[in-house]
Amino acid sequence: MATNDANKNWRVVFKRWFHQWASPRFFFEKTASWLPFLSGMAIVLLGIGWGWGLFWAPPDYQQGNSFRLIYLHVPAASVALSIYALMAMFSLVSLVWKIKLADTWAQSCVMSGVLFTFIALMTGAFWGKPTWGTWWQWDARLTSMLVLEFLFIGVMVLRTAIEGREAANKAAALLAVVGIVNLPIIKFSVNWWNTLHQGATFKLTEKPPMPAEMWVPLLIALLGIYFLFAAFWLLETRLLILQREGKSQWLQRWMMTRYCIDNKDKDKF
Amino acid sequence: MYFSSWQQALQMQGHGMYVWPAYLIGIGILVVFTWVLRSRTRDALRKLQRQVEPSDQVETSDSGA
Repeated sequence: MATNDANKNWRVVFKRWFHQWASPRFFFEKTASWLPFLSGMAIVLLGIGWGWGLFWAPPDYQQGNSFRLIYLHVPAASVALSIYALMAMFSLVSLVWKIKLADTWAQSCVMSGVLFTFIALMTGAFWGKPTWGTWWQWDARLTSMLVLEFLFIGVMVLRTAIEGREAANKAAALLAVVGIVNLPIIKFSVNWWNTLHQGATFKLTEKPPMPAEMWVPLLIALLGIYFLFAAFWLLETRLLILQREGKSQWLQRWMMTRYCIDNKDKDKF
Repeated sequence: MYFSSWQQALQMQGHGMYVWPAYLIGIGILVVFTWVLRSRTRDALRKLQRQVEPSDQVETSDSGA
């Protein structure tokens, strides 16, 4: 009986918390001070990770110095997969519970997804040439990553191609949810098929197959790129709220207090 | 530093021609995207400011009357 009550309380607390964050006004006001922290962390972590990886880490015994591309390639690929999963989750929430802000959250993932997937493919090509002797191979991992790029582009194009915002959002959300089947294909492609691509760099259950001076900067760059995506996502979400809620009283009041009373902070966001 | 000179770091024993362009393009894309997002945000804020300013003036004149 007590357990049931506790569960019910937790559900009520979670529901209230979720509904609060799903309000554009609450989200906009609460996240106002987050951007400097997220972007600052991204710059510091990426500076350390890339600097260490490019200048201090030793070269790979087989691949030589081309291995240094790992510090951009792996974080970009990893964040691209996470962005897709996040976008699909927000799309599902917007489809099932019709929460307006969930659709905005999903939309804020798309452009970052396109760019990080492109960076993963581009750095992979630059790495492939000295390692495999070719820029591109129709290999399972590379092809499934290319499909991911097309899925992101498809979601982006659907939002503009269909007339009526609600219908366009619904179509984009459906494609995002269906496209999630591509994620396990990308992840396990190196196990399911014979590919040129190497296996996972990090596994939760095993020690990394390289010395600490090689994988520590990779871990730092990985964290940095997630902070960078969080900054992009937040900036884009706040931009979309500004564009969509421009006529609402709360935003106009926020604007008045920010600009009409204190003109010194012009252009501050 | 692993390399004994900047020249060596740039060349990376022949792999520099693959490593450096990839980093330059990747970082360039991220910098341009940041700039685009910030400039679109500034535009949206200016647009909103223009919406707010006339109503502010109306309110002032109303209260004065």
